[in-house]
Amino acid sequence: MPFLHFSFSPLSVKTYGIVFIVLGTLFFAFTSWLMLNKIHATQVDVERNSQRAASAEIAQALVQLTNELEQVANALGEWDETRQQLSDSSYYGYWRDNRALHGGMAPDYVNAVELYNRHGQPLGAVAPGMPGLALPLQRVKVTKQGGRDFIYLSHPIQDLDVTGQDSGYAVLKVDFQSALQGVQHFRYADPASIVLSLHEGETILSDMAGHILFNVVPNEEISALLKFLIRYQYQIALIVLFLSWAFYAALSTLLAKPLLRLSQHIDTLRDGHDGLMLEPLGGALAVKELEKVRNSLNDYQHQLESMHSSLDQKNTELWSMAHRDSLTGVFNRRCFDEDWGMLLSVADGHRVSVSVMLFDCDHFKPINDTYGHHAGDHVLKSIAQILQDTLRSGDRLYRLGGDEFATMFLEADVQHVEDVAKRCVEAVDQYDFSVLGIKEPIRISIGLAHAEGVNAESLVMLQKQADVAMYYAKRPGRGKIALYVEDMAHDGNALLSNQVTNAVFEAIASGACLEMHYQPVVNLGSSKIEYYEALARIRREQELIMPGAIFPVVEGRRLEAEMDFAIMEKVLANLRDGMIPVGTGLSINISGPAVVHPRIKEKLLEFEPFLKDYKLVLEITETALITQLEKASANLNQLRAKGFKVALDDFGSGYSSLGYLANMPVDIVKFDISLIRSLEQDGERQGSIVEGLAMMIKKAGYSMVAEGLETEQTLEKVRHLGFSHGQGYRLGRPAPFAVLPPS
Amino acid sequence: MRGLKHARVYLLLLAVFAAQSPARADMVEIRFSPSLVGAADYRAGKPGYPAVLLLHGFLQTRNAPPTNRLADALSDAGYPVLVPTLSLGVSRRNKSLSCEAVHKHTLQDDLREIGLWVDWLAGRGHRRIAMTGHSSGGKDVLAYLAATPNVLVERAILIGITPLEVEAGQYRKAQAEKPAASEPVPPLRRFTMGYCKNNYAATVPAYLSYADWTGDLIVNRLGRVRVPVDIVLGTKDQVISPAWQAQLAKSRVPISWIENAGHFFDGEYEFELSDRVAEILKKKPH
Repeated sequence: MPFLHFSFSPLSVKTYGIVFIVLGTLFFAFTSWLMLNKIHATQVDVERNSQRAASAEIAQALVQLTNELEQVANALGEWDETRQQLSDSSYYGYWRDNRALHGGMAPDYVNAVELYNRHGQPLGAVAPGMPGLALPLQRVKVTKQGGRDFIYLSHPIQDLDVTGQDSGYAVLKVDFQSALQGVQHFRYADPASIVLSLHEGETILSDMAGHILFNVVPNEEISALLKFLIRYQYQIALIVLFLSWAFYAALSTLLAKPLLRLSQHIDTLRDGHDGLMLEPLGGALAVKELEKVRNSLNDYQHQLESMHSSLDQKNTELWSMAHRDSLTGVFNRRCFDEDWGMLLSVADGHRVSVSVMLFDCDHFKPINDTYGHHAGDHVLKSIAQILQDTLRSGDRLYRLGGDEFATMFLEADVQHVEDVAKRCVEAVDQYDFSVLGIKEPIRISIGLAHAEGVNAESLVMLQKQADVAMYYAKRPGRGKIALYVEDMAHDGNALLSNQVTNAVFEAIASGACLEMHYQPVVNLGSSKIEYYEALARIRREQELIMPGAIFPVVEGRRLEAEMDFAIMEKVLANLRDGMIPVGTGLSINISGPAVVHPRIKEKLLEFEPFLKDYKLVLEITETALITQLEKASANLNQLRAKGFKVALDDFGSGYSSLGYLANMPVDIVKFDISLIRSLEQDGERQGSIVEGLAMMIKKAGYSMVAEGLETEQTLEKVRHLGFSHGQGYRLGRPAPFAVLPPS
Repeated sequence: MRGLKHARVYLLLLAVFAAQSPARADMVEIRFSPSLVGAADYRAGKPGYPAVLLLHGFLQTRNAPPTNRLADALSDAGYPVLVPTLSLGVSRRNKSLSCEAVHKHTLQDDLREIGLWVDWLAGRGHRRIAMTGHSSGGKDVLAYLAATPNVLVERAILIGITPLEVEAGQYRKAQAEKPAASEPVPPLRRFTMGYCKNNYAATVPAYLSYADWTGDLIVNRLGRVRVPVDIVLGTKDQVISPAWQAQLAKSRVPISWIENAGHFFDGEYEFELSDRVAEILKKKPH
């Protein structure tokens, strides 16, 4: 189940890191803004409170100043030295300047002191700026002079002699600002800013508070706090900036780059540029999880390499199995076809020089039949080994099937190819096959086809040309080696060779072109056709391919059983069609491989329903019986029990001795045509032997069939020798039932 | 232990005095001039006791120690006591005058006021008067008695008498610059006088009127006074220099020493001073 159901384009780790940093920065900026805003609001509140506090503070200071000035004035009035001056002002100036102002009696903020007598006249010269005393006395007045505010406090000095009478007056001139600062330490109001809203020379007699202007002392704590917080914010911002950078660097170094490395490593593995031999991803990663991924990836890569190595080995084995011939170890037909296909593709559009060399073992089938498959296999293995040793190490030897081998040469001249062919022939000739128990000489024939500087289209014909050349090589007196030349193209037999092969395959595959011809087997006693031998033909277009061309291909391709099954199917069809006259019979040739085939009994039992109306004879060569006598005997005896008759075909053509005959499960002995023809030659020893042999076999109780009866003389002779049946052109040629004469 | 014993005695005496109601002091005044009034405390005594006139020290008032406490003690003992405050030019002066104040007053002014107070006592019917002065006040008493013999005065007790210290150079210069008597307002100068070190603001005549009373003059006058004079000194009086002690010794005036007492007879020594003065007052004048 996918995690995301919506369209989402994934982002890189770095992008996420940047987004995180940006969001963090925005959050930090927002919180900073909130905090500064709050502080600003607090600052406004504090300033408002400070304003109120400053007003109260100034009001209190005014009260305190007034009280203190009253006290100072009282003290001054009661001071002995003041009274001394009122009674004797001889040294008034000294007293005023040294005693009243600086003698500790008046505070420092008192700028001037003047004494006046009871009539309001000054005791001495009035200090500059001091106004004269006007009676009636105005206790307090405030004046702006020279830009500064001064308080003038006039205080009556009581006459101690006369109650209720003043002996004089004291006037204090006080600097307003200094006085306020002197009586009170201001916390909220800025003392330097406290002024009275008076014009120069303007005087007020009361309501100082109503004329006061002042500034509030900036709240240092709040200002300091604000500065601290702003500085703190800058520091935090720097730290955040540094941490962001560190976070991004760490993210990039610890996560993004390793991930990229991992990804690139995986891509490399996937693309396979370096194969699976890619070095494991080295260098420990700082992030535990990534290190785990790296280790897992390396483990996986190691396993993949092991698996790949194993697969390589398996592939090699599989390729070898698929492309190597299991018997000889040389390359097989499939490999030849692939190489040939590759050659064609490589040659496409190019001019190349190619030679094809086909090898074929002469008379291999008889050797195989005589010495058995085991010996035949050894012969093939030996030939393959000889050819491989003779060819260059780089030349590929293919086994195309049966005893047919091939190789091909690129960019090799004809002479060289012919030289190689000669060496191969000579090497096989010189090989001692007697070690395999084979006494007969074994030779090979070689068909060569060469195309010099031709295109790919021309190459397609090379195999066929080599096949045609092989046909010529096998002809007597051709020296076992034939190079294809243009003239061979007009030889129909040679051309047929390949066409037959295709026709055989088609006949086996579909049976469509398979056509059964039947040759009568005549009872020599009654001169009636007792049964017919079913003989296979393959119709190719208008031509009819005869057994002489069919069966070399069948045997060469090891298709004996398949061909027999196709023929049996065709015969069954003819039987089912009622083509075969009831009361006659059929003889069917069963090859050696077919007689021991697992399905042979099953197939032949399909004929069982016809046994009541037909005589069914199975013709088997002695070679087929001898090679697998036990298995063949078991199958044949069971069929004989069902009613089948077994005929030993081609008796006398092989290498078997009479000793085998007694053990063979046969009812009929069918003399090979070569034995019958020997009877035609009077006085020949072989004819006498055949006559004796016939008498001996007849005496043993076998029915005998003579093949190849072509003359009346031979017919009479075999009848005389006791042959019960005869077969040959004298008695009837093989033909389809449609054209056969009535039995 | 001795200090503790004295402290116990002191506390006991405090209790005794607290239990007894001291004689009430009445402030009395004398107008010396239209604009100058002098003030004094007068404590009426028992009959038969000589009236005691107590004079305070240099620039002090009648409320300064040991004058005030001695007045109380003598009053408690039954003596009529008059304690004036020399006006020093200040009407009804009730605080000590600072050195830097205008000192226009002279010793002669002080002697005149003393004479008026003696006359005041005589006017109250006191026929036996004993004059006592502390420190500079003792000198004033001596100067008064030397200048104005009065048959009513039968005894003088000079407590801690000492000449006012002057700076010789200033003194000589003041003598040389002695202004003409016709000069209406002589300038103020700063002098060293007693504990006023170069800050005694006075006219030259005023300065000289006190400065002239050197130790020699005091000793001289001691020999010329016709009434019995007794001197009481504290052995720890830092103001009394050894030279002055030696001078006094030559005067053959009886000196009564109070052991460990300082110039102001603080603490327990005020009682010893009172007792000593009382003892002297009980002696019959010859």
